[in-house]
Amino acid sequence: MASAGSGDEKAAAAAMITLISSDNEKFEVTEATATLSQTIRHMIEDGCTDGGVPLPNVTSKILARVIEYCKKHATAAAGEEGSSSSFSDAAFLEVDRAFLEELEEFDDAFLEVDRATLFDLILAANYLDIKGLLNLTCQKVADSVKGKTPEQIREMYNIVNDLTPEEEAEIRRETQWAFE
Amino acid sequence: MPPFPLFALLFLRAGSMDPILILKFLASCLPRITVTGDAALSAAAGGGGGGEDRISALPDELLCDVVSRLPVKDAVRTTALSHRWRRVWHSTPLVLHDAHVGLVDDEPARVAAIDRVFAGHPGPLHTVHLAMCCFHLYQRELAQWSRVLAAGSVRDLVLFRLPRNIDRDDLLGLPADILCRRARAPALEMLSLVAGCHLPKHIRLRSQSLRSPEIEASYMASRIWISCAPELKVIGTLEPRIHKLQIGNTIIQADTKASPSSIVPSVKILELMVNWGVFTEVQILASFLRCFPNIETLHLEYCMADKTTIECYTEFFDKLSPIECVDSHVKHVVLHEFRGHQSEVTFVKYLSQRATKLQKLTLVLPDEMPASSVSEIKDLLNVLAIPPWASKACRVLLLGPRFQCDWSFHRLSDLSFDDPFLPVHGEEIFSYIKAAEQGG
Repeated sequence: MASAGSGDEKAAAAAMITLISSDNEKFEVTEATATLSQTIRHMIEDGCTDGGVPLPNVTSKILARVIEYCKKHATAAAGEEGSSSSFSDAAFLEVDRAFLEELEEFDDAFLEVDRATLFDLILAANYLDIKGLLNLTCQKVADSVKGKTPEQIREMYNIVNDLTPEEEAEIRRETQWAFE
Repeated sequence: MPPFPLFALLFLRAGSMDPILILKFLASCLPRITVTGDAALSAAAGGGGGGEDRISALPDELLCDVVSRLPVKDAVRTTALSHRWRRVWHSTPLVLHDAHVGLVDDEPARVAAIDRVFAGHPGPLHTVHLAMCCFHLYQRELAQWSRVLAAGSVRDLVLFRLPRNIDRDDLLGLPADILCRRARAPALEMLSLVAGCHLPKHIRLRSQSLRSPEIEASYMASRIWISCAPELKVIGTLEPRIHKLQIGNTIIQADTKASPSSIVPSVKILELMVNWGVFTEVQILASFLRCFPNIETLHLEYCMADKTTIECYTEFFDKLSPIECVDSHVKHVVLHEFRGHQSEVTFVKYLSQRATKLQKLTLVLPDEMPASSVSEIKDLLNVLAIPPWASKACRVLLLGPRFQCDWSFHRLSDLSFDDPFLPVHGEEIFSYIKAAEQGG
């Protein structure tokens, strides 16, 4: 990377994208990392990333996490491309497997965040259109709801019950089997 | 969600296996349930929300995303949370796995609950997997469900059950009606018909939207009738020995000439079982290939049969009139269970001389191939590499036997695989790249 030639510098610069968070912090990322976001990919395709990509909906704290996710998964995507032509090669399969496991561990650790951050990540993943991150975070919320009663879910997420007792009774009657 | 119009018809070869074993095996191969019932309860540790209702602040589409990941029982319970949540499940495309309804030991209650789900959800339906019901006992409910299924444009439908007794009528246990209604649903992406031992006698694939099949099922030998299916991309596994193929009004036989009404141009991937030792099967192979002019990936599996015939295959292939898919489209050919039979070798030679687009030729050895035969096959491949080939560059691969029991519905029905018939193989034994002669 520490090349002296101006041509090389240009090539390296062309592959870098600057992302600007809502609190005006700048993040330099490679194009491969940035294009995990379909939103940014479209911006790059339209050639409107000069001078940085402002992301007014994403704070620096969340953007840093999102970039951490994208960096890891961009490496994974590059690895997959490299090995896809050698699908039958047992050694490659072994490497793939190890890498997938590592990725899974990364995802698990990545999700160890407080609830506010989790929701911020969901919104950022949705805004930036990063499918993998959206899947991961929505799944986390879904998992937290499984096997819980409405009361437990309301308590966990501070959901205000604005149903009248009659309405709630009616819903429960209609869906009684789900409460057994 | 853009529709992915893919339709695949898959048959499992039963051979002489015990039908009960086959059915149990099939049960274990049912599509993986993407929504799982067990949850990591450590989720989203700690508050941090400060009493704020962050979840209800999510836009509708994201709440629907979350709800679509819940087992149906949990999903239904969210309707009792609040006014906002009452609407969410109703506006989320339905995901229903009967395994998630609970009530494992109480079939009438389970059927009643499924009934409630269908009655309470306005559609559309995304996934419906009914694998635990004795369909023949609930004809009334099924009639209702089939109406819902037909109207709800399900993207993913599985109907399966293990029979209590292996008698013919009980075996599939599915009313033809539900399949016929289902067949008119416009959004069908894929139908997998996996029959253990008694294949439906007559399977007709026809549709205006060209994705929907119509199925008339009875048992005995089967006829597969493709009458209008321009979205059909993948077909397999066809066994000319068992399946009579009808396209439009033409029954495909060894001497059938290809005509516009007897071809299916949409098919890109085909898997055929061929008994390379029987001349009539090799003849019909050529006829079948003519029906699918745009095949890019061709899988041929050696299917051993008791009788073999000795014929001059070289003469047959020399005199063969052109096969469009071979001459102009096929990129990857896989010969499974390659034994080096004279007709297989002649076919490989034929491919090498005719297939201009061929990029890859894979030969997969059968189990327990003696080392001497393996080295004979290697010699043979080296001999094949001497004359110039029709294609610019082709990779030739000889692979060890595929791993045991890798037939997996999960893999076969996973649309993200480019080629569902490509199994996981043993090690690479031998390979080379046959490039075009320099300077032409």
